[in-house]
Amino acid sequence: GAGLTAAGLAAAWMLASYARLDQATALGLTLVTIGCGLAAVVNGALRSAGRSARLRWLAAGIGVGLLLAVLR
Amino acid sequence: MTGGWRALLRLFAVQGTWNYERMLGVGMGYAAEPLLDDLKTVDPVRHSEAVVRSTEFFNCHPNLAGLALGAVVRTEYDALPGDQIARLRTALCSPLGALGDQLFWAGLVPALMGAALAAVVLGAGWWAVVAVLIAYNAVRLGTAVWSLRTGLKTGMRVGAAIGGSWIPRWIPRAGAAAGFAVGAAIALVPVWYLGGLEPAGIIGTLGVAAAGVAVTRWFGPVLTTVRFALLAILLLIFFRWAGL
Repeated sequence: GAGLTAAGLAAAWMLASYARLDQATALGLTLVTIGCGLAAVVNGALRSAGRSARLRWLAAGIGVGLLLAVLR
Repeated sequence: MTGGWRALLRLFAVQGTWNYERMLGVGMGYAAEPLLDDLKTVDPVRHSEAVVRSTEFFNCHPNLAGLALGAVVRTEYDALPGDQIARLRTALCSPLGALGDQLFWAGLVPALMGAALAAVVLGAGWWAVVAVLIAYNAVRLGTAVWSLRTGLKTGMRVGAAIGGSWIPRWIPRAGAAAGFAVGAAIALVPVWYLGGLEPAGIIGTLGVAAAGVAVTRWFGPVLTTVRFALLAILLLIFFRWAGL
């Protein structure tokens, strides 16, 4: 686990230092990464909510969160 | 019986020597030692047997281990047969594991994490993180004290005590709070994160997220979200290299 994390951090550092990306590619990669992160979060939340009352609470939370985001 | 506070402190390190052979067994034995001290003068033979029994295989949720520890120590002082104590210990593994997982890992922790994320987005900053740490550890400490006391008080009747306690009532509440808090965070955090982008960027990101959810749920365990993410990144790099 630690070795894999270290290898990942090293690869990320090398890419950040030496990879030359144009702005469009960099922006695209950023958006794809954020989108995939959001997909992972939603998948995990749906999986743990199951089909019970917890799913309704999840939906209620999303609704309240969107309302707060609009009002913010 | 003395040694309660030392046993409680040692319970916080109950996973310190977790291993596949005995799992929490050694940690439980270490925590039981102060409680079993008085047995040395009362019945030295029983004390040796109790110490050995206390380190045998055991596993449960670490935050509820005090229930099992207290109950088993109480049965030692009640001079119950050794095999009956071993059966009680074994019988407590699964229920305490399941209850603890539902209450803490699927309830309290995601509820606090979701609430903290929402609070950070709404402007609480670092105070949200501090509040989460304080709240979780307050519940953790309170549960540890309650569980050891209840176990020591009830002994063989610990099963009925757990059934009639606050734990079964609070599991659904914790689950509901977790669902709500995580849902609020799911809505608030992306809006905050993507706030500075152009509409096309926001739509693209949400499109990737929606495709990720749909595709990974359709293709199940073969296509995980991590694999989808790697595939999406490779596709993007390919399209950019091809000039698209």
